[in-house]
Amino acid sequence: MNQSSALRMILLGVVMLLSYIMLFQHVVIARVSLDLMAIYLVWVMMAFPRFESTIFASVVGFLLDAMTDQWGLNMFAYTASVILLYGVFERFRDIRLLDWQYLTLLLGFILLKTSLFAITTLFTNSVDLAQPMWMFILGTSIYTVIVGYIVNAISPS
Amino acid sequence: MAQPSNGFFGRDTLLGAFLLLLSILIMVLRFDDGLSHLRQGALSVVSRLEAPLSNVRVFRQALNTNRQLQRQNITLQDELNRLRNAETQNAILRDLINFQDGSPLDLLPVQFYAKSIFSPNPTGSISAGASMNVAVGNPVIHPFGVVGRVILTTQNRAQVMFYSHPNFRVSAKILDSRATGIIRWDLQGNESMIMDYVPLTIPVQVGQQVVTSGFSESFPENIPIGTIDAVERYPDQSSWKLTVRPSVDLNRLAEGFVVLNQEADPLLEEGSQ
Repeated sequence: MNQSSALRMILLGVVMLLSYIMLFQHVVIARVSLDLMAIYLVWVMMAFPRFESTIFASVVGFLLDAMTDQWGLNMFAYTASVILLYGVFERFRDIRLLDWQYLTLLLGFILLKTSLFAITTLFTNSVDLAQPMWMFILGTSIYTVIVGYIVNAISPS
Repeated sequence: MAQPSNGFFGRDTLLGAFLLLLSILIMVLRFDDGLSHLRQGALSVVSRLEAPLSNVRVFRQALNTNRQLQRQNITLQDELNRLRNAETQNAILRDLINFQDGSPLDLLPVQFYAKSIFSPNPTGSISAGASMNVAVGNPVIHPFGVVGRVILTTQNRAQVMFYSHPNFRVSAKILDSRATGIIRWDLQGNESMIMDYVPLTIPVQVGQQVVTSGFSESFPENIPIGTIDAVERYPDQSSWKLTVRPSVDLNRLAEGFVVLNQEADPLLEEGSQ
């Protein structure tokens, strides 16, 4: 792993996390909010090996939990999603993805993550989803995929 | 580049398992004392991070609240105006009822549907007609004074000649001296009445009350007409020219009474036919 690219990715993660905490978590559409860090973790998985990607996912999840007082929920969901889907992402690492391929990967990741998150909340009773579970999963996934597409279209690389 | 996985019990799997267990542990122990300090610290950091944006949110909320309050203010203003209007209307109607109860005359309360005050022949229509015993020649009055006379009736409506009509005449007297004269509208000034035929031998002064004399087949006695506003002499005549300010403002007139059971003026009846 290149150290400068790792540093750049960490900085990008901090910026995205801060922007999510300060701004994007308040941009709620139809009671659905964005999962910005899922977009970030897709980029991480496309760039780093499994070991580093898992660490990134858990750290991002932990920080997000700390900022949103959802201790352990995001950390578990992100880490588990990266572990389960890394094999799929690994296959596409060395090729330039078409838009639909990228969006399908992002959709798969966010669907798995929100599903794990929602199921975990059933056991912990610590978070109120404020809507039916299927609506939370679908709404968050669609919202994130749309934003992910826009971000992907305007990002330089 | 991708590194090969180290088998089922490789470092990737062990790391994943460790992190998942750690996250579950955090979930379970979130209310524990050790984590509560961490939660307090995180809360403090988040509140600092969100502070700048919360000001924007508060400002936006204030704008929304302001817009809602403005709308509410307009609604309340409208309601207040309606209530004030109703209060004024109530006071007027109460005065009319008191006047009707205290008067010995047979009074029929009416509303004015239409008024043409500024036409060459000022008239108005009222909400009662022949079906309610309104007849041509009946006086129309207001608690403040004389309004006019009925000149035409239908089943449910009647037309009233206002005191500012060029043909309107009523016998009047000055309340203090009981000197009589005839009231007509001042067609030149078009703002007041003229009282003619009061002899120069009668002392008159501005401010004296003028009322109906009762020397009429239609208008009963002592209904206010107005107040003397100016006193002049006709050149080469032996009577005063008294300018009388009307008691009733036709512009604000909306209700009144028809005095029933008065004999109609036969001359007017002939004229209307």
